[in-house]
Amino acid sequence: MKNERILNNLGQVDEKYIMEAAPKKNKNKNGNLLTWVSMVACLCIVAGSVFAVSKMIQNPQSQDKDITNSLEANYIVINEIGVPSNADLDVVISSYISDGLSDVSKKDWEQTMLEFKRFMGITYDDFKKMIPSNWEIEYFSSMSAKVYEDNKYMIHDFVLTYRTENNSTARISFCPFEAPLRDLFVMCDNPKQSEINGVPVTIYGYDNCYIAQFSYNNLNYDIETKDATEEELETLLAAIISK
Amino acid sequence: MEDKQILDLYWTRSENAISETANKYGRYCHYIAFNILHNDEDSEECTNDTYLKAWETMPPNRPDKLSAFLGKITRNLALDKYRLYNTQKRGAGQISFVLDELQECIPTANNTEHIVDDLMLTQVLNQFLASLSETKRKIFMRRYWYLSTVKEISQDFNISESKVKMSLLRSRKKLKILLEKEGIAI
Repeated sequence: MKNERILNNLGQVDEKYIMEAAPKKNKNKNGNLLTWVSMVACLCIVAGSVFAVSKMIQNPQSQDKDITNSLEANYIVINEIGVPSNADLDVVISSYISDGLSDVSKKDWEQTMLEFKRFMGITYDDFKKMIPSNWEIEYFSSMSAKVYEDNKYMIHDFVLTYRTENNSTARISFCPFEAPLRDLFVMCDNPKQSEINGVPVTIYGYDNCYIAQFSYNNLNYDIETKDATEEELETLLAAIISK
Repeated sequence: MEDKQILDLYWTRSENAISETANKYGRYCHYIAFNILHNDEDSEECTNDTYLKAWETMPPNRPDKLSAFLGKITRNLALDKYRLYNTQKRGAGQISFVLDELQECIPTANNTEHIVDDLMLTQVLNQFLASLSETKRKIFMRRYWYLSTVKEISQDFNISESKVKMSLLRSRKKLKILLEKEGIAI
């Protein structure tokens, strides 16, 4: 039958559409969130603690664990999204392997370091100390775009790519004047916000990737991890957003 | 366990691959099969057959998206089982309703020029899906790929059932127009 042929052929469509529409296993309910937040607040009052701490994750069984182990000032909500769509970017990328010293001239590297400090407000060496030791730098890049009126390419973002022993990767991009550029569009209506050390962070999740976007210390961050666990992401975010 | 680790288990021929797949994707596969067969026992059998098929095909396959890979296997197995049963009785699942709805997408004979092969038809379906807004596409896929009920879709998207039906109706019309425009006979 003809309609069966359409039904069968739909079975072969692009996998991104299949994953995008997949029913969610556990759905976050605002009611549950409020309940847990209230319970945590009560626990904190009883204990005389300074911080009201909560962490909502999707598995209700894990919520018990988080409540009893609530010493972190973090609150994580993952906004599940479909696979982001590609976008073309008119940018120039300058990449340096590892810390860059091996494949660029000393003068170029020093200039890049000056730009880095101008962006970050701290030196690259100080920034490295913030990143947890299990994340090894793999690439150090700057991304230039035509952002000014004179139509010249100027540094828009610094992009640092890290890798762990387990091959989880994290790409940390930051820009002082607007959100870092990204070649994958995230689409999500009214995303819920997480909180890391009191700073609002929007976290998206798809496949084996997380995307975290936030502003902190006059910088706009975009962090994308692949194959990292939620805990690894949280630790990384907490290291950058220091108390 | 991460998908990469599960795939490694298949590739090293570790039987834990099956149990880890069942832990992570058992409910997902059962959901797909149940929407087609509407029977727990048959859906369980389809889900188990999915693991077996995955074991037989990995390696050499190493899918990028394990969930979609498994979901496709389950959907095909469940549709095969449905066809087998349908010679005796009409299934109680969503498939009969879905087939009736998809009938509306069939172009009229006068407006078509050629019968295309499955590859070409799938390409046109991809083109059609890409043309839909994200929400309409998700609703379409939930109904015609996952065979979810209209009620369930309305709950998941927090919209009324009539809005789901309207969205599906418009998408089906759009698909029919695209197929006619491309001169495709089914």
